[in-house]
Amino acid sequence: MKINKLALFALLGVFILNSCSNDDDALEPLPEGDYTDGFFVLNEGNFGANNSTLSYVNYNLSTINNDVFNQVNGTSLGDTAQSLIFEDDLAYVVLNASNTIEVFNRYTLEKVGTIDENLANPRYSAIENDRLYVTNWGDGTIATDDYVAVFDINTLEFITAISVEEGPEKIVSEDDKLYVALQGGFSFNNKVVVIDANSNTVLSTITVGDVPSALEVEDDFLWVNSSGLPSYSGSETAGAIYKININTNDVVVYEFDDSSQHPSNLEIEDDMVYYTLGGSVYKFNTSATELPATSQFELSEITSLYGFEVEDNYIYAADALNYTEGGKVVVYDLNGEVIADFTSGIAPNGFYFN
Amino acid sequence: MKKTLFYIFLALLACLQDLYAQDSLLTNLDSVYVTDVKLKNYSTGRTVLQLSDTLTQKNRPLLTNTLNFNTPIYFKENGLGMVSSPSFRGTTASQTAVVWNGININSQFNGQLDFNTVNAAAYDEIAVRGGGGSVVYGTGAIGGSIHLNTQLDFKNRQSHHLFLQYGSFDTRDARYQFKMGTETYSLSLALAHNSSANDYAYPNDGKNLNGEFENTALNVGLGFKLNAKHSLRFFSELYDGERHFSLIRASETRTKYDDLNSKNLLEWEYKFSDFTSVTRVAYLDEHYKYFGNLSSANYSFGSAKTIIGKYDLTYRLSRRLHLNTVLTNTYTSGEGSSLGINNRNIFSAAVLMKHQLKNGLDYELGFRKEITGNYESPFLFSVGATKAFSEYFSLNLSASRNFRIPTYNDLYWSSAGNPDLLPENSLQGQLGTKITIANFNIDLTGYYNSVTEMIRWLPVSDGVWRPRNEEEVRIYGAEAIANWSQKINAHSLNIYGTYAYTISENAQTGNQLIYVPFHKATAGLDYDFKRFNASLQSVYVGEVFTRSDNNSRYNLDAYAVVNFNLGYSFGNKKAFELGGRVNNVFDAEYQSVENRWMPGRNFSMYLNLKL
Repeated sequence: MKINKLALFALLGVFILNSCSNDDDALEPLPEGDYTDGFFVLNEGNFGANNSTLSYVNYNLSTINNDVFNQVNGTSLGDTAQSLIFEDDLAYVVLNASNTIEVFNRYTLEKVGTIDENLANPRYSAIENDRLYVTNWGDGTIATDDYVAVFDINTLEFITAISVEEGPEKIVSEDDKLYVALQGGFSFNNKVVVIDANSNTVLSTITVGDVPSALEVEDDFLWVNSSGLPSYSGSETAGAIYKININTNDVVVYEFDDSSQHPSNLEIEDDMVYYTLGGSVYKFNTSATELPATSQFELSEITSLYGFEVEDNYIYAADALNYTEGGKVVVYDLNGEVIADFTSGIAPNGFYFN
Repeated sequence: MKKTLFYIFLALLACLQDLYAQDSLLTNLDSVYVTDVKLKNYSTGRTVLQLSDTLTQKNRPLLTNTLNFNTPIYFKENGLGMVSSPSFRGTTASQTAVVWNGININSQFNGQLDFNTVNAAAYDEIAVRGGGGSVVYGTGAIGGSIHLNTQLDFKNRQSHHLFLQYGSFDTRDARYQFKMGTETYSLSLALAHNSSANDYAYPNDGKNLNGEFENTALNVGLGFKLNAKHSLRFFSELYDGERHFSLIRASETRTKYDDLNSKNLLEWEYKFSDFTSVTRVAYLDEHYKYFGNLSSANYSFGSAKTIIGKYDLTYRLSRRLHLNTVLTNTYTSGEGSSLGINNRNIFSAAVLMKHQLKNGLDYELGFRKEITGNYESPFLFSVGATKAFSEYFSLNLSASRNFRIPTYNDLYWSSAGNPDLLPENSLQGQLGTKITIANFNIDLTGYYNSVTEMIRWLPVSDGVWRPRNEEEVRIYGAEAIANWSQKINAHSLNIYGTYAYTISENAQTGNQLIYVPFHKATAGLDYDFKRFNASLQSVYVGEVFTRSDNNSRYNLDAYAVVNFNLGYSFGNKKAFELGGRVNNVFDAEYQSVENRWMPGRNFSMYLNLKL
């Protein structure tokens, strides 16, 4: 058991080091299955319509295959697919309206199991020490019932629930710790919670800018994208990007000037920080001290940005269009040239690379 | 609660024994009063399909069912008894007006009526009027209008009608109607209750979870003929419904929706020289609560109170030429969880004219204009003509401009509502013919409808959705409504049906709107022989798109559903009837909304008592 655990830590270490590129093919002796050499687009579908789907695009970017989960398993993925995470051979999809997590083989898409208890309005997940941590809003109208649910990734059994403040959204893991952005759910919040994965307790709470909508850990630094309060809140605030040293807790804040500026989609790839602001892509070096003055390029093919990812030398953007038909997926190079575009399922919200 | 009500009905049944001696007497049609007289007088050049209460009795009490099986209107139903919205002649859910005793009752919040929150058994007469009617009926009368009417009988009689039905999924349906009157006063009372566990099985294992509902409706009509000149009439309805929303998976969050609505209308009619004036005051109260999570007591709500004052003056220039002005003031005070408190006032003036020429040509003209601070109101008009060429054949023609005003949600939804919205605008025309040969009757209508300034909610930025006047839709199609009846000795046969062909396309993309079938047909058959009666009701709905890019991979399949009814009457006046029903006889597996299955074959039995 101990040896197993050590081996797993070693594997995890490799995985985490590589996690930003998710390029963990090196771990596997060439996986078998029809979906090994490409990426997935997760399509949320319509709330209440049970029409979430998974699309697959081969890395040669020639075609998109929509609805692949259904094709393999003959059943729907569920309702309102929010996020996906890979671990070893498996993929875990969080289905917000179904209150389920669908578990399947990432290479063959064959269904392995479903978690359908102890989830209430689940959002995002992270994995640490063989455990799946899932953020839950609980009842959206109740501020005090939010939690992070913990499951065993092998048996899919529920272990515990860690109560947190309102609106836990994105979650990342690093060195036995989990960092949870409290975006605020139906309301607004401005914190990041640090959870100890050994004791499953909250270690500390870090206050950041309003509405932390994205976070990443890279080389001892926790990066948090706070979007700021939107205009409809009645007290609009500018966004800010926080760079927090997870060992010393030193904070660098990159502040936006204007209260109408609401950055989102922070991604770190090859020592560059990427984010979007008003339909354009910006980037700066992780060691830079100021925000870039100009954008890299405009996502002019996208009307309603719903998913964004930077992976190796490409930028992947998803457009939900009008939510009543398949969305649009556009692949750009880092200079903003369109490399490929596809029609996905309804409301594509994320990209996941096999 | 629902059981208690059911037993009250049983108790009522017991009380009725005493009244059994009462004879039901002749009916004098002239003494029947339906308050929505405009429906008869100002539908020139249009088709009005009347659905009798014997027909509604052959259907489930929720209004969706009667209309789905007997009219060309298509329904999108989120599972049996769940949210149900119509597409009438290819239009959207808020483009069908629902009119209760002449008063438009579409929701102030979303501009539509959920047809599974209406118990059809509360009305004496349901009529369906195809095509635009905004000049008379106001907002939403674009695809057509549905009329729910109470009938007052001014004649010496007293009648009771009790209908009790019990069926699969613990479904209870109880309807009671009481009418009494003299030549000077009339009372009509209808009480209806419907409940169901609604836990039917899905075709692929699984069953309908959290789908239970119950509702009670009370409808009262009271009329007094004070003297030759003055009459007073009062109509009132109370509807109380509780409905859970069904789940696709057991792990989903359980929710429910409660409705409490009341409608009240007071009319004073005064006839002098060649004038008839009708003064109306109506008070509508619409209240809903949505429980987004049944494990907590929290809910969101909407509540709107509307006061309508209406003055309607008809001047008879001659027996054949009538002029009519209608002045209406509608004041609404509404509030809701995401709406704040908002009041709005709309004043409208309409002028109508009807002329019946001696050569069999009838025509009508109508104009309406609204004044309100809320939106820029278009000038509405309506023209219609009917020419009877012989007793077998007549032609109908009409054209109109109609609208659907922005709703409370559109205007005031917190941080999303758009105060600058325009009403949706429809310009349409139709041409039809009515052919009558012996016992056969057919109405054929072709129409064209251009709807502009369609209000559509779309995401703008930061995930916020806002409504905009955005789309244009072109609709054209054809409708047929037919019936044939025959009596030979003790056999009586009545066959009726409808068919609709509908093209409804987005003017920008040319794509057919989602959830609008190209084809829909209904067919019914009633057969009576001595004490037996049998009937069939059926509906066919063609394939529908569920994706606005018309990706056919996700289309819902066409389906046909047939219901069968068999009854046997007892008593020397056939006052008692016992019967049974098989719904979905062929056990069709179907859904009218993606991933929302409807029930397979199911059964019920009933007792029908008329005194």
